[in-house]
Amino acid sequence: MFQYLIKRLLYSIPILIGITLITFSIMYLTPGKPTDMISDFNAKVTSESKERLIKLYGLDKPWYEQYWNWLKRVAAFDFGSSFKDGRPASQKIIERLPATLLLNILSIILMLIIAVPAGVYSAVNKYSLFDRAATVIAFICFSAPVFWAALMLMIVFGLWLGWLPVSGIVSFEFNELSFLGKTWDLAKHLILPVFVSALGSFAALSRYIRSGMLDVLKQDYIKTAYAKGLSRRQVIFNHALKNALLPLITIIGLSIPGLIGGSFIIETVFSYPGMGRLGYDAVMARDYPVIMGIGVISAFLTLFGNITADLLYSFADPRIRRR
Amino acid sequence: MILSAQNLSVAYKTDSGVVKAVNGVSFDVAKGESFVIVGRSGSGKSTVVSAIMGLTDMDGGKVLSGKIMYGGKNLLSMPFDERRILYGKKISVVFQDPQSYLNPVIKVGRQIEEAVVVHNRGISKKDLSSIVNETLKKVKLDDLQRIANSYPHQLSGGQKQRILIAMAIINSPQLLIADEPTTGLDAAAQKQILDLIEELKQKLGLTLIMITHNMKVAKKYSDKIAVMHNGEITESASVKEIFENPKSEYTKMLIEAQS
Repeated sequence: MFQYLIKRLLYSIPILIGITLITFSIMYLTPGKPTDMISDFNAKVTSESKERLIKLYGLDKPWYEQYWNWLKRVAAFDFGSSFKDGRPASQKIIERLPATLLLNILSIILMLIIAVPAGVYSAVNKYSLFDRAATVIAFICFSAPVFWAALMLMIVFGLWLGWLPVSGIVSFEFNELSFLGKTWDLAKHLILPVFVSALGSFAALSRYIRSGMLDVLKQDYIKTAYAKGLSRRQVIFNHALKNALLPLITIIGLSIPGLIGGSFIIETVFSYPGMGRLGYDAVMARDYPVIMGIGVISAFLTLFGNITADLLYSFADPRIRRR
Repeated sequence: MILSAQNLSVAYKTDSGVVKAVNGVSFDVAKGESFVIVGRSGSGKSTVVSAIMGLTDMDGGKVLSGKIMYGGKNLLSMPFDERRILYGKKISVVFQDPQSYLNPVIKVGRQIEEAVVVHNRGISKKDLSSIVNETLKKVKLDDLQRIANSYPHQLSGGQKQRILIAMAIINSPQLLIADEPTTGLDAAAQKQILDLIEELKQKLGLTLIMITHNMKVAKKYSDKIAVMHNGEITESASVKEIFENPKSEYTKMLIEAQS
């Protein structure tokens, strides 16, 4: 088990480097330079000072040299400073990380709370009214684009009904509120983004669990369970559920990158101050150090999620347990 | 008479339409006898077992007509909760493939205990473990601690089949159904399992319904044989009569094919 873990961790180093190389290449190939933002729109900036900036950032060097220099600095945990405001990229990202994690963890929890019972209930009562309704709702949720669903919900709950705020994470007067008031204020701001980001994956997951459960209910060991005289409830909860939910571990592990990627759109639409919006702004400004920093952290979280999922899986499923 | 099937018909819905797997099958099983249903795969013999155990729906089939009488009541029209009290306690089954009939993620010890607990709520831990150990000895498993703490994939096919037999006999049922109990086992294990079932039958005074495709097995372990072909029982008689004086051509063919 320990050896396996070490092996997995060693394997993830080249993967991590590969991801950064690809991110860097795409970024480098994208038209526009980081210096365009600060110089071209400013009439006072002369072409000499622009040249100076390019030299300062090392942008005049060939791309492989730029990448190599970046890699060397990252090896010492130096992600460089933002081109935009000169603050360390790592600091900018770490500031935003809690908000993104809060959003994603809440939406994973919400997704599981809805999708697991819905999927299981659908499978146990196949072709019932509930199952049919769940199927229709799941397909609507699955096919609705995230940004569109977000805008529609903003219109309904934010503008027409006026129940929920449509942007940010807290209100202006947040600091003057009591503890309870603060919690409620935060919760109100989180409802829509959390709901929207859970929506798509909820639909897919509930379908997945339904089909997994249906598959398990057809297995031979379920016949054995019935032949012992167990009740339906006992068969479902003691024998079927664990087998049907095992793949969930992998799915959650694999959904981590999706949630981070998905939050680019959601955080931008809701003006949510998380990593996603920081990434979006950084891409727009060609803020190389921040983009690369986010790339590294996302890649790291993704690999971490996968390895954790595999480890948990081997704990949960005796058949693949390693010694 | 312990169990009797009367005019049983079962159909399955398949991609190519409705298939009648069992067509008007009737048989009686007397207390204490070994009743063997012989037939090739696809003859409908396992469908009969499913019907007795109330698993026809799960297989995607439907009982079209007929009765399965047990203790004066029709199993097929009994409410689920009334029926399930009989299963595992009065009527038990050993299925054909030991590989797939044990839950892969539950320790076998717990799977055996469950068979006891479901019919004896509130049984003490001590009684439970002594009855489990006793039963594991009855099916001739050694190293009980290790086996009870194993997951199915850690055991051999023969051991798994013994576990399934232990689960089936642990509540001392009246009727044991063995559906091709030696499928997937090597030749040595096959004989051991069949002998074990025979021995348990004698010891515990069980009535046995066994399903097999093997005429030799049928000859050795049965009192009465029913030959099934295309969902119907073509011939049913004592072992002696079937082998000495087979009436139908199909039975003759089966005997010749395996002698």
